[in-house]
Amino acid sequence: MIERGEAWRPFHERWGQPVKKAQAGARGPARVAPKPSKKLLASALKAMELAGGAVSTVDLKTAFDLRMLLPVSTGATARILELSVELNQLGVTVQRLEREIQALKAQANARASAIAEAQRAQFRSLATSWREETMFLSSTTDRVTHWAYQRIIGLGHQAVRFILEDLSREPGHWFWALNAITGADPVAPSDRGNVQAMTAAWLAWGHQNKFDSVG
Amino acid sequence: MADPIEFIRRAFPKLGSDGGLVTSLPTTIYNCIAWAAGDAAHWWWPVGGYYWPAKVPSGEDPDSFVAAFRTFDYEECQSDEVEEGFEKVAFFVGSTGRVTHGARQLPEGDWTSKLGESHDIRHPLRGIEGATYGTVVRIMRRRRRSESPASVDRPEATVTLRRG
Repeated sequence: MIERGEAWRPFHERWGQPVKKAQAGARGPARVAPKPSKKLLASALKAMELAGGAVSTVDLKTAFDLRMLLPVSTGATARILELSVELNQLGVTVQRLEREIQALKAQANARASAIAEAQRAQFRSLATSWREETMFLSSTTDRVTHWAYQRIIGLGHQAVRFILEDLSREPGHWFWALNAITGADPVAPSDRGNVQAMTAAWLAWGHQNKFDSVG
Repeated sequence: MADPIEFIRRAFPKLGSDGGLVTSLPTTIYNCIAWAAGDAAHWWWPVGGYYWPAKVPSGEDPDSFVAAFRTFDYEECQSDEVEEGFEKVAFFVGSTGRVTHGARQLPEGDWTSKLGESHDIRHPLRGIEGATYGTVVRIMRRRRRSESPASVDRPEATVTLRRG
């Protein structure tokens, strides 16, 4: 890979011999820069592409600068201009595609938000049914086999963050569902039955597993 | 959510005539079995990762609950009447054969219950029998202790359940 600094060094320093004036007493004739060949020019352009990283960085001005730097033929200069125009057009295309990608990303984000809101509404509706229909029950079996609780478990991992949101508002008996969905059991045996400590353990688990940073 | 007091009246229709009193705000922190044992800081149940006394069978049948309360010096008895110097607990069983509820007798003869995640109530023992909890199947007693839990009614939350 050619570094940017290397690419932008004058070409005569990179490919040609250093130009030195004949010095009195020097041995041999003074060296002069060779005339750049088409091959050399192609190498220069390739180097610039690589160094620039993006085609849009090579533009007409670059071509002009090149012409100033290199004593190239008229045909080669014309080719440089053609290539520069082509690269410029590609740059415009890239910009348009980038805009399209941004628009599609925004569209996808909006759709994901809408889906998440619909799922949250579904969770809240099920949670309300469950609370109303089991509010007088202590039996774990009766509470967790309730149809609404089972449907919440059926929502799978997407329900976890809604449950944790609910738990963060008030302690509630979501431990069975969380365990059923995730397989985790972060509650210390000594905290069993201590609903506040059980809630805190699950919220910490959610934080560790990044469920509170989603959606 | 509809009026929670109305929910209680609907779930326990006998309280409308037999009388009953809501004595607390709702809470998810403790349940009926904990409340029967005098613990207002834990949720007790033999399954589901909740508190249950050590070395006691973890089934939802009445025998498991009787065994749990034996570890607190309760013994089984037949009568739900007030007996001087004793405190009593009662267990309810529904149509499935599983325990559904526990209640504790107060010194004056009324009973106190924590209704799931809902409120504490004072009530006649049989006033909460029915579709929700089934019927009383086991009663236990032990000598009243100085540290036995008193009624902790919260006057600001008191609501009568009797209709009319």
